[in-house]
Amino acid sequence: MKSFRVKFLPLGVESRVAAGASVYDAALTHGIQLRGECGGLGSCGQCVVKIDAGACPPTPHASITPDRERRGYRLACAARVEDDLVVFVPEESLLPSASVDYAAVVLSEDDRKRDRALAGVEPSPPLNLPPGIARPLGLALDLGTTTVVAEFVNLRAGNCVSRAAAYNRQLSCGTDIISRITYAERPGGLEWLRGLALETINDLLARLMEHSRVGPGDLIIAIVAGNTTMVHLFLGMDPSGIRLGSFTAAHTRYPAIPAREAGVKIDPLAPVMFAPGVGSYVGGDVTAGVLACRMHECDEVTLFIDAGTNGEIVLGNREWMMGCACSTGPAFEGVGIASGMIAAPGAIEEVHIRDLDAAPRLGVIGGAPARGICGSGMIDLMAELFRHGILDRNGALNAGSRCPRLAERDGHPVYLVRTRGEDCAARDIYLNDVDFKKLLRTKAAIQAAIRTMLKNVELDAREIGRVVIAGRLGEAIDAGNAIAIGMLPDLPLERFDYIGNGSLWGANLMLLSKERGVALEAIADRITYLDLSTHPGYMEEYVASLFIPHTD
Amino acid sequence: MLLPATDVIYYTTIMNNSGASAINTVRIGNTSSEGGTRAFSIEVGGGNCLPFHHFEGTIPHRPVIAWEIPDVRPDDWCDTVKGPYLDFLGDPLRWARCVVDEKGARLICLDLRGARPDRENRSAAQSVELLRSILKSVPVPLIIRGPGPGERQNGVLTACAEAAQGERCLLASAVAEEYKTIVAAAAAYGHLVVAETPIDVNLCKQLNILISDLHFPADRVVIDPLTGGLGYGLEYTYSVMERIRLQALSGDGMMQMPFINFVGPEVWKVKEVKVPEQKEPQWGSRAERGVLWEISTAVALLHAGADLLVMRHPEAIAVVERTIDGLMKKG
Repeated sequence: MKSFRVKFLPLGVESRVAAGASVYDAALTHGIQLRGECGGLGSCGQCVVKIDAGACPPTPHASITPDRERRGYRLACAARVEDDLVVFVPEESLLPSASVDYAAVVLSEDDRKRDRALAGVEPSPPLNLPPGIARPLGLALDLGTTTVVAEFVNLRAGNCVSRAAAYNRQLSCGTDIISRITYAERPGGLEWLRGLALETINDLLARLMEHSRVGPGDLIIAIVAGNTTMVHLFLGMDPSGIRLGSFTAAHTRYPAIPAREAGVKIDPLAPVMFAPGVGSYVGGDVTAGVLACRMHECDEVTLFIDAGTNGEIVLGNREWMMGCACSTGPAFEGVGIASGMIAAPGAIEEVHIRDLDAAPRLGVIGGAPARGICGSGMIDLMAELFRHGILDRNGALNAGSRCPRLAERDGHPVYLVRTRGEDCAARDIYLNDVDFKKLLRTKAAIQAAIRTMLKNVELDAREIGRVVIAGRLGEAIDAGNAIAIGMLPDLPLERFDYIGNGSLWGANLMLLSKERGVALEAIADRITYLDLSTHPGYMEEYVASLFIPHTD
Repeated sequence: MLLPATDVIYYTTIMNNSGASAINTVRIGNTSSEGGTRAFSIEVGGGNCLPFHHFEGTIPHRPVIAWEIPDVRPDDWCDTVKGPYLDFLGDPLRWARCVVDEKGARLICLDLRGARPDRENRSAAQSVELLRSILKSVPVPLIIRGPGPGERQNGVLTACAEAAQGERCLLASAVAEEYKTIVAAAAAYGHLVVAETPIDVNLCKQLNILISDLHFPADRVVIDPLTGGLGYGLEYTYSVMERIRLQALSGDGMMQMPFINFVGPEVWKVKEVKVPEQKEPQWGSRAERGVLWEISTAVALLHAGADLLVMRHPEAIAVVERTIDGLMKKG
């Protein structure tokens, strides 16, 4: 097979690349991670590189002006290697490691709500506890598109030993599920993604083991709750069937496999088990959340909302359940937002604005100084700015309004939550106009999904007895503010309940109780899957929801 | 035209509740008694039933056709539609006088396309000068169409709004991304505003809410739902207009504005009006084809609820005027 020499500047690394490979992939072999929200489809236009030597035909895209095209700028994912090349990689095309910090963060173990949910669960793990180990531990793993959370659970006592979160390293191969699937369809893509998932998980485990002073051998079982795509990628199964319409070739049930085979660095013979899923976009993370909120045991109608990168919604009670999913994007988990971050120490989780001239009052996880803003803080900020007329109904910053905290950064109008130095902040913390538009789309996707679902079962929102919010938005989510921007249905505040990371709890329950594991199988069987991507009314509801609070 | 099933259901409901709500009456142009210099003013809208359903409500005002007058030589117009105006291409003042004096135009639409940076790049001052001379020598009410979204739009329309203070002109167009300046100018100098959204019921209502949030009166807003010419997506506009109208008549105050459709600019750019006979002999005479295309598009939009039509060809305008006469006859 023919190959060419490709040299990457400014690093100066060089190698032989097979003819026809993309420059993007060639860069990856050197560990040069280019930006690419679309996962190399040629649509996002972020992976621009400059060809300094060698022939390479133009790759038309709106992000490359004719002038830049003449000077050799190309899209790395569309440019093919058909000649010896010297490629210059501009810094703005590199995946910014500062904005996405992949390092695992140990989270607080204190979680009263979780303990309440687990209270009354007599530990009866789905395997016999070996007598030789003093403190047998189980691993509960929430495998999210954007965030991965791991927790060590004491299988005898039933308590949480430690917990940590990190961004999923697959983020570099596309921020949403569809771009991950298309990435997996490239040659070698699936293996690459599986490797990134394992790296993320094993890094988390190493961090937790160090923190809790335990070894791999102490972890004798693992439960994974993840969406259908993430589990496919984790197991190295071809996910391309997931996005192929109604004839879904997706697997929703998975047998237990030994950790050695899964590639998870715990006891090599420990079984790795999976929460069962319902359909292509309603996976084990959702069924686990439903188990945690006990919808399947209640008479009253419960609305369960998991606001992750894919928003999943389940409506029902002990007699019937219906589930659907909508694409919300990773904004609430802090990705793609100017000062966004995961709900971890340093994240602003609460924002109160009383006086527009003064700095807003903040709630920061673990106390000041703030490092960024997480989902619940973003919802607060939107609602407060809307109340004060700084944010329009269509999510645009009102540049004309006299507010000293409105400024400009990188050519975009922004609202400054904290300026550098204020309350010891190490840098400016702000959201810009594009961020607010992203948040508007996120809230609209969830709002439209809820409205479509209610219409589908001909239920009035007022008949919902309880609304359970799960996800990694942050503990401090303010239902009143979420209602104010229209994301949640307008119901009395006492009907709302935030349960935090529902999938992790569900995985916990599976670890601690064989019975709950059986109940989870039944839940997966009973949820009726509503496909919004082919639903005729969804798109219209979505456009009507791109307005604060709603067009009606 | 096929109606989607949901519209049929709405339609039956309206039939039973007709008379409950009406479309706003919008008055264009101020006479001397109203603080302007127009010879007369024009009212559109006001109906409380579906278009031309005289048997279930009242339609106080007939739809009105505005004649399109470009501010610069329209080199992109095809020969068929340039033909009738050969004597005054590039002389918008004489052009406007001719259509008013000789063709009986009661409303003109001054298209300030020459201000576009990619065209003649005329300054706001040049646009204002032309507007002043037209206001002086042409007595009919006016629609002023800016150069289109972009930074030039605000400057030109604001300057024109000031120059035409008190004349109650219709300014086109405000869009969701950029509406505040135009609405503020219309409010300050006593004009009306076209609210343009891309063929969508929800987006249309959203812009109307945004404009009313600026305390701009609803009876000074006209909806442009955007359209294509016949064969170029007209049916989408048709059902969107129908749905907006049905919602308006069932009492939604944020949908009760009259409609404007820019028919001429859409029709005269499609392939079917341009291709010569030699190339497509079975399509028949190019001249007739173009005129028929404009007529069919306009008449379809009238049935969807159009209150204002901006048109180009005098023959097409004459036929559509006669069609409106017929449609406005009761019984």
